[in-house]
Order: sequence, then structure tokens, then C-alpha cells
Amino acid sequence: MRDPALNLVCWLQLAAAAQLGIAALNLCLPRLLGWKDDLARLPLLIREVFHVHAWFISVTLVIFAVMTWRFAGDMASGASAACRWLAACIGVFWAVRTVLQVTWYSGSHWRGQPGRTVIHIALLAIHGGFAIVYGKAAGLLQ
Amino acid sequence: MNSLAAILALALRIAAAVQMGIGLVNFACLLVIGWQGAWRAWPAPLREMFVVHLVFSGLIVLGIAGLTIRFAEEMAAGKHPAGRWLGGVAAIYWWSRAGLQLVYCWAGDPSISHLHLVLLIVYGGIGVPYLLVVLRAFPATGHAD
Repeated sequence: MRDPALNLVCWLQLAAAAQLGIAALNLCLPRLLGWKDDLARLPLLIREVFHVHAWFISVTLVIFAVMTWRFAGDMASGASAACRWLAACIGVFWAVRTVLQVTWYSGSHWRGQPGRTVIHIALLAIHGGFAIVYGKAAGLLQ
Repeated sequence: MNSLAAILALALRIAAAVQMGIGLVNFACLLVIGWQGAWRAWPAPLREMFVVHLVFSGLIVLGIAGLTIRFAEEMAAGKHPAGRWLGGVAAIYWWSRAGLQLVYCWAGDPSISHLHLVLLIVYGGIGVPYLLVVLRAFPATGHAD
């Protein structure tokens, strides 16, 4: 039987790799979702804030990924208080993201559209999965 | 803890307090800048994502601030690699924010130069104690992990 801590290290590394992918995707969202024209119509200051926020969400996800990859062992073992807290912060981030996926985004974006419904469910599973993995590393979930 | 580490821990706590203020203002960005009217007129997906980004930008800053307050002494003492790495990523975060303020926001809208200058100083200033956390690791070991 595999060591549970070793298993958690693998999950954390998988989460780190997935977050790098999401960081890259996040920067391409306006192009992927066809928002370029809508964004161009916004006032300059609002458009700048939108781009700055998008950029920093991606920077943050890269930071999460790098820190997770570097300290996956420490996070999984629970030996370091700093790593437990870091895992808790990242876990809370993804738990809130999971809740927002259900409560904030309008169902009209995906309801009745099979492709978008699959993406919605996949995002829910991925974000929720991150919250569970980091929650376990933080000792918040048993 | 020596006096240099104590000063650095204090500087980290001050940086964390400023970040808490920025995080809270960020949550109320739409209200503070009076954008609610314009925001309601945007296409729904754009409007929803804007708010999600606002919430998460605020959460991230509050997260960095919370970790800094909790581990200020450890970070200042340079004892644990996680503290040094946290200092490094926080410095990168805030200095890239300052860089973006200069080359993207200021260059794009020079009509509010005084605001850009204040934000540039605040963002750059927050990054300083975090950089010192990283630099403190080098004299002792010749390298940092």
C-alpha cells in the first residue's frame, strides 16, 4: 500500500501543473471567448483594471504552482507550519472559486449547451479538487 | 532575534497592514470608483468575470498579508526556506504590479499621473521588505535554496 503522504505529494504536483495550465489559459480568455470587441468598448481605466487583474490572477496561479512544486513534500508531511498555512490559503482560494462557479456565474452561459455544460462541470471538479487537495495538505480535511 | 531581524519583521508587518487595506479597497473597487452604473451595462460574462477577478485579487492580497503577519519573525530570521520563497514570490508580485503601473497604466492614461505615482511608490515599497527577506538568506550560506 502506498504511503498517503507520498500520494498527496503526487496530487499536489498534479495540482501545480494544472494551475500552470489555467494561468496560461486565463491570459487567453478574452480571445478564446470572443471578448475583444466588448473590452475595446469599455472606458480606458476599466479596461486597464480588467487586464491588470487578469494578469495578476495568472501571476498568482504561477506562484501557487511554483510554491506547491517546491514544497509539495513539506505540505504533504504537515511538518512545517508555514507550508500548512500556505496550503490553507491556496485551499481557501480554490474553495471560494468553486462556490462562485455555482453561485455567481449565470447558468444561462451553459444551460442547454452540451459543450459548455461539460466545461462548467469540469471547472467545478477541477477547482473543487484543488480545494480538497490543499485542504488535506493543510490538515483541514481528513 | 537580532535588531536587524526585528526591524525587518516590523517592516513586514507594516507591508502586510498596507496590503490588507489594498485588499479591502479592492473588494469595494466598483463602489469606490463609482463604476456600478457602467458595470451593469457590460455583457454578462464580462461583468461576472470582472467581479470574480476583483474578489480574487482581494483574496490574494489578504492571503499574502495574513501569511506575512503570521510568519513575520520566521521570514525576517530567514530560518525556513518556505519563508524565503514566500518573500521572493511576494517581492515579484508587488514589483511586477509596480512595473505594470508604470508601463501599462501610467503610459495608457497619463492624465492621473499623481495617482499613478502614489500607487507606484506604494506597490514598490511593499516589495522592499520581501526582497530583504530573500537577500538575508545569501550572506550566511552563499546560496539560497
